[in-house]
Amino acid sequence: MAKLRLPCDVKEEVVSELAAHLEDADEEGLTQNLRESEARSLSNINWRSLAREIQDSKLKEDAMNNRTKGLWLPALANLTIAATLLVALEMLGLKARILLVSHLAMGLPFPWLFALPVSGAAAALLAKRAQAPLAARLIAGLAPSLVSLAVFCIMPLVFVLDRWQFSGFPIPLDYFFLSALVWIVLPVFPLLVGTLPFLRQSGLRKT
Amino acid sequence: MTKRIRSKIARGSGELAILAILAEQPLYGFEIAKQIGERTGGALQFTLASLYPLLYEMEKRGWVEGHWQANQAGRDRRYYRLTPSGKRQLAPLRQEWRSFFQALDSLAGVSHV
Repeated sequence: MAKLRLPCDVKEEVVSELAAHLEDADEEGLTQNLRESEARSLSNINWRSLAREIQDSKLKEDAMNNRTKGLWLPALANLTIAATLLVALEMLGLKARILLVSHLAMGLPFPWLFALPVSGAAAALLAKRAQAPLAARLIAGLAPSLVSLAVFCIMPLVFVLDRWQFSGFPIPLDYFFLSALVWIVLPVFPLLVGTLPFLRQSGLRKT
Repeated sequence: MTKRIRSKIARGSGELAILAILAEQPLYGFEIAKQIGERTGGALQFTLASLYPLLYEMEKRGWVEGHWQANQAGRDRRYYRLTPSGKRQLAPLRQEWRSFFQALDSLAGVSHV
């Protein structure tokens, strides 16, 4: 049963339930002289095959759909909510603070950063409801920062690989790194605030 | 009869047996197996390995739902009860099996009660 590939809380519940069944069967056997066939069937269980069958029965859809429900959809929801918040707050007049870096204007979106826990919490909640493992919940909750990280990793590559137009790094390096700080590192903290409450495993009833 | 067909029949009859027994009262796994065994005179017997995959499958389909509750001995057990969807399944399944036995009876003289 240790090899059951199920979310931890589901796995523990299955193990608890099977243990309870064995306990009941054992007591029944002691009080009523367990039938030989029953005793044999209990000792002859192919646990590996049973684990596979339970896994197939328990998983709502195939692994791909589980990943979609537990990771991709919550991450997409997170990105959508974060983007909507950014636009909505701007429209409400809660504008980003402008900072000049190397003669270039950079917006520090403080109102958006304060609103981001909502976005992280929504994603982590969706992932938790889909019984996603802890890592998937965390990734879904931090999706806006991770997407920004991907963009900031790709950007220099594009600059370097674009041989026809490449004539040095097109934006000042301090501006580039400060932008990375604003869009990757700073959002991690409010996103974590929203995500953390949903990283705990559900409590289980013990037999 | 191939093993696959036999397995499908066993699975189908198991579903009906579980739905029928849970229609009377919520029960936990061991009690389900015990009552089915007793009431069919041992003709239908569930082992741990045959019961739980089927129960979980039925739960996945939304026919039954499980919840932890203390049994008479005060130990937590996962009780299963029929959902409205499970209740709706019972009548058509009964009819399906009735038709099956009638068809088998007319073909092979296997009378059913």
